[in-house]
Amino acid sequence: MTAALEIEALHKSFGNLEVLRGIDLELAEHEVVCLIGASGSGKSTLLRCVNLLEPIDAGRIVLHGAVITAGGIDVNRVRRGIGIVFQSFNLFPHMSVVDNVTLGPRKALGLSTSEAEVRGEELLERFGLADKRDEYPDRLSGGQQQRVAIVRALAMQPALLLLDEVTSALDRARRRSARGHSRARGRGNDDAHRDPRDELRPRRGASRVLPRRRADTRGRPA
Amino acid sequence: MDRKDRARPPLALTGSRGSRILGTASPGGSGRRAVVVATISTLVFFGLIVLLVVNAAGWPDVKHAFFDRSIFEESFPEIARAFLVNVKIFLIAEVFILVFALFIAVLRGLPGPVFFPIRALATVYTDLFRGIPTILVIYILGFGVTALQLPGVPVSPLFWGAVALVLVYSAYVSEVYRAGIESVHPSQAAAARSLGLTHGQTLRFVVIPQAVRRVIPPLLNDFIGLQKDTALVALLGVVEAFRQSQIDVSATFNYTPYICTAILFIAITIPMARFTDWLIARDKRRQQAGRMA
Ligand SMILES: Nc1ncnc2c1ncn2[C@@H]1O[C@H](COP(=O)(O)OP(=O)(O)OP(=O)(O)O)[C@@H](O)[C@H]1O
Ligand SMILES: [Mg+2]
Repeated sequence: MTAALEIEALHKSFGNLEVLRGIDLELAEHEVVCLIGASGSGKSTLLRCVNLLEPIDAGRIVLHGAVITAGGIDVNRVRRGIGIVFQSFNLFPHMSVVDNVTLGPRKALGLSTSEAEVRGEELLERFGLADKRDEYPDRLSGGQQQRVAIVRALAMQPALLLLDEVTSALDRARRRSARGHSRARGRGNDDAHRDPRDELRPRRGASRVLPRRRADTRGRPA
Repeated sequence: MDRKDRARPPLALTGSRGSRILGTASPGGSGRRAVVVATISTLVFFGLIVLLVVNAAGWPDVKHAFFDRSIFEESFPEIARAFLVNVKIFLIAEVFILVFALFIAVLRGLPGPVFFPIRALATVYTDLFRGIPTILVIYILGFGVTALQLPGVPVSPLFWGAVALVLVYSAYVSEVYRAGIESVHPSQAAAARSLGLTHGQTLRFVVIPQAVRRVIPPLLNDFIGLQKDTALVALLGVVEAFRQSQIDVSATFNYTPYICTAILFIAITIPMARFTDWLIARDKRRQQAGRMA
């Protein structure tokens, strides 16, 4: 099995605070991995590093055989292949739901508006958000906002999906369906999903669960 | 998964009526009384001031020098015509300021060490033009640049007066834009970049649209200042409202034309000021509504 994502000896500090101290992690294609750790242990930071939103201090990240943390890499191209759902969603408040979802496909992938909307609407439908198409994010419930954020990431058809506390704002039924959907995508396409800690429930969808202790030196499968 | 959404329980606390509870008091009985009280107190207050002025020892002289009805009627049409020059300067300068200032603000926010010289240049520009008195910029450009007699460069004082205003006000407005851009939370840019958008695309589609919305009230505030400062191009010999009133004053030995000009300026700046207030109030209401949601 080829590794879809390899993280090697990743170090990351914010000033004096060393948040990630030598993280090693290997992820196979189609694998769903769940990251668990105490609040403030660096789960979000790790995901942000993988998405190149946070510069790393040492180590390297290899995605589909290519080192993405090397200099001279086209970060925009790398990010197009990695979807991320932020812990606080970060929806664009000045755009309707459908514009939130189609912005990436239109501007980063170069899809036409109609192509992007077909893709976006199909996903919105699947996540039960068809009727919220023209609504603005501040008029959605927390769980609806989170689903829009998931759809926004999926609309890019990423090879790797990073979900930060992905089901925290969803009720049990939705959590199950979102997980089912994520898993379906994980099998069908080249998706590797990593759901971070969220009580105990997302673990059920994960094929592996990694504990993430504060300043852990090795990420070991539990 | 759809059923749950459709069969939403009718929560008694939500909905438009519920939100009104926390809003401002509705214009009921107490509201009407407030209006009456405000009207009476305003009338009394200004009535007293008028009484004070009119009973002052020098009032008859002042009245004659500043408030001469026949001179007013005589000079008004001419000054109003000249005022169109002010309006023209304002409208044209405004468009250039909006665009140029945004350009400067974006330059100042370019990331990375490569762009340091450009950032520095933009900073020097804003520092310079906010530091030099507007009147000096107008003189230096209006008399200095035209004296160079460069081929192809316009010599019209109106042109250089407008250019000076654009340069000075762009420096202020670019700072307003910059404050707006910085007020957009970095997580917004992170979300856009995570989709693979470039720095430029992120600014254009995500950051600037949110920033501009926030800075419209302070922007309009600067434009009220610009409207008044169009009178400064008179220093270059442009016959606009202020210059025209000066001409009329020296012809009649009476200051009434100045009052005329003042009234014309007020006629456009006050509506703008009220419009700005209205926008600020509307923004505030929206934010409160947003926070409730
Ligand atoms: N931009 C930053 N600057 C400085 N410190 C930061 C920054 N981002 C995160 N940190 C710190 O890094 C540590 C890890 O934060 P992170 O958000 O990764 O935690 P987390 O594991 O996702 O926690 P939670 O479960 O509460 O979301 C925290 O102590 C936090 O204060
Ligand atoms: Mg987190």
